[in-house]
Amino acid sequence: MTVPLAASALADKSDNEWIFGTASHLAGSAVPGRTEREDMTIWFSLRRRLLLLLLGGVSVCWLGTLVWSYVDTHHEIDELLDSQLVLEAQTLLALSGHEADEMLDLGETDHRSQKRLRFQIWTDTGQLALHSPATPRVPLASADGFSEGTDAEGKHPYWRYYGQWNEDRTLHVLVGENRHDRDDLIGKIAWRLLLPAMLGLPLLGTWLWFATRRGLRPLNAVADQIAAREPQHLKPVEPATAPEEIRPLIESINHLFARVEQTLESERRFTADAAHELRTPLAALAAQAQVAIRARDDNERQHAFDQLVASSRRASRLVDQLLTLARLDPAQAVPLGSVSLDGLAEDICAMHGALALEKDIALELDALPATVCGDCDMLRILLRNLVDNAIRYTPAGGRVSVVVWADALCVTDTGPGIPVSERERVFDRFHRLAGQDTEGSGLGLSIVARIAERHGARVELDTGDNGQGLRVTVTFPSNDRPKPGDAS
Amino acid sequence: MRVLLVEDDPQLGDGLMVGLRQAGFAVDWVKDGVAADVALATEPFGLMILDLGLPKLAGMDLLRRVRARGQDLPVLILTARDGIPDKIAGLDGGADDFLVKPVDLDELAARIRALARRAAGRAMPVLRHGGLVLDPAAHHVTLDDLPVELSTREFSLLHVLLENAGRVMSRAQLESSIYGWRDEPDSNALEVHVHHLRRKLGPEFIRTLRGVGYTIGK
Repeated sequence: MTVPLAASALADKSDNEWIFGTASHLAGSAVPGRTEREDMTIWFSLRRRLLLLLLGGVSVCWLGTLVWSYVDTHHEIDELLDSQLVLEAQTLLALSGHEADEMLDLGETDHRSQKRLRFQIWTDTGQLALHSPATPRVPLASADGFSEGTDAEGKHPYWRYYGQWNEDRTLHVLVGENRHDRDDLIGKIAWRLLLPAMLGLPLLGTWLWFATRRGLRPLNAVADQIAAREPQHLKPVEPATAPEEIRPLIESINHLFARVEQTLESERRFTADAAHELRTPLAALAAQAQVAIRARDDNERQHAFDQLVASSRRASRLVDQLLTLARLDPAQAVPLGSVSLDGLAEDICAMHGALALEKDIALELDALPATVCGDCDMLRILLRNLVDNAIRYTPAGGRVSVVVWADALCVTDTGPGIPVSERERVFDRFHRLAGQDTEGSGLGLSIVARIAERHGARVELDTGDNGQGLRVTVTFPSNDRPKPGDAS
Repeated sequence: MRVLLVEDDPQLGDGLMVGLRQAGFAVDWVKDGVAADVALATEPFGLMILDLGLPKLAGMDLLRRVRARGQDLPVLILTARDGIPDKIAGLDGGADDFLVKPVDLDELAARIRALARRAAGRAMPVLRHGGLVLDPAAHHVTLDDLPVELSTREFSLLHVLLENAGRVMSRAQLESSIYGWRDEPDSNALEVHVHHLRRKLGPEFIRTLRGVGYTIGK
């Protein structure tokens, strides 16, 4: 599923998924085993996320400012208009004290101001001395100071009242102001605050949308560079410019490339080596077959046939060893299990008993009960290679001893041994010691080393008893320690 | 012709040795570079088949040594390495031919004959001397267009004498070029072969220089 998904993401690069689409495309082609894990990824758009975060943040800030401004303006306007109301009441009181009679003839005022403002002046005896036109004849408010009231029908617009007595408490003034105007004013101010925000947010959003796209363009360039690569092209990605933020990503990709390159190179070398190594036994088969065809007598023919059999045995042994090595793929995890080393050693020694007898070699086993954590089949191959090598390289009359204890096994022979200078290189594939007549594949110790590595075990080479022969010791990690499962 | 085979693989070495003997060459087989070096320093060989991956002394090092000593025998590299750089290094390093394993025995024999021919300064595949025609590839000899039956040894002897026509070949030279190490000739085997050749080709064909050796005149 990953590949078409990645392909569609690549095709539609205007969208933001391309970064991850490319990454999964890469992972898909380089490490096919990982695709299933890759499907678990929850994809998200970096651009969308940036946009939401930025717009969200900006909106919240804007809204906060707006609310605060509204509340503050409301408060200020209330204060301003309330003080006006007080001033009006006091003016009325002052006026009414002197010219109350004249003021009874107020005449008609314009309709608009009647709706906005109203007042009543009551005497201390409870008589309405003066009032604005179209004002009810009942007290507008009962309390002194500020109060709120509805209109005659009991509905909005309601009024804000202020009541005050004159100094000698003979006249009581009630002034009302229609709240509607006040709210209208506050609403207008709020609207003026809100309007730029409403227009600005979409503009800002659009700008951010393009800005993030532009900002993420360097990623696009890097992705293009990676997407345009041939599978064999594993040199580091080196964009001319790249955002500092994706440096870790590029660095880890380059690191991965380097490791893949190394693995590929080692596989390439192995394949080439293997092909070369197979050529010699094949050449021998061909030569012996031709010799057999042209044999001048029965002896010669028989000899050629014997050699043919030996050649084919060698070729198949080489192929077996190659397959064994190939199966020890470092990418696969070692199946864990309890393996009885002593039991395994007994098996292997019994298997090689006949060969040892044939070569007149004393094969000895000294095994204490020992259990290690690992894969039984692999450890069998390891032990078989060690014992096989020991018998192969030990001359007739020699001795091969296998010792197993606790978490180690040790195979000692009385063969030619391995000079100190060669001990590093014998683990290399196809490395054979100079001057040996024995027909090894040159792979035995590489196999041993690889299996040991997969089990976190250590392989040491040393001289055998009395400074003669070879001793190979394989030490496994202790059981109580967690086992290093994957060597890769 | 005497051929030195340098090959460390036991079955391949054995197969090549026997196969080339069947093709009429005297073959000596050594399994490492040092033994080959010693053999070349002490015995005359007409050609060397050289493997590159050799124990003790690598093939290319051996070749360098041999050429440094001034030995100009034809060298045919027979190896599992098939890279162009390997071939270039081999040929530029003094080899005359480069074959990649596995190789057909017939092709190998043909290449050996071609190299020997060139080394002897000839281009013609057959050797002629009067009415005598020797075809090394077909292992075939005719005298005045009539086939002559010869044993392998007789053929080798006649071949060596014809290649060196006009020169006197000592008894030791002749023996070392038609016998390998394994087949030690008895003291008068060479005389017996010469006798047979004279009987088949005419008494005056091979001349004896008493105490010196044999020759076929120009």
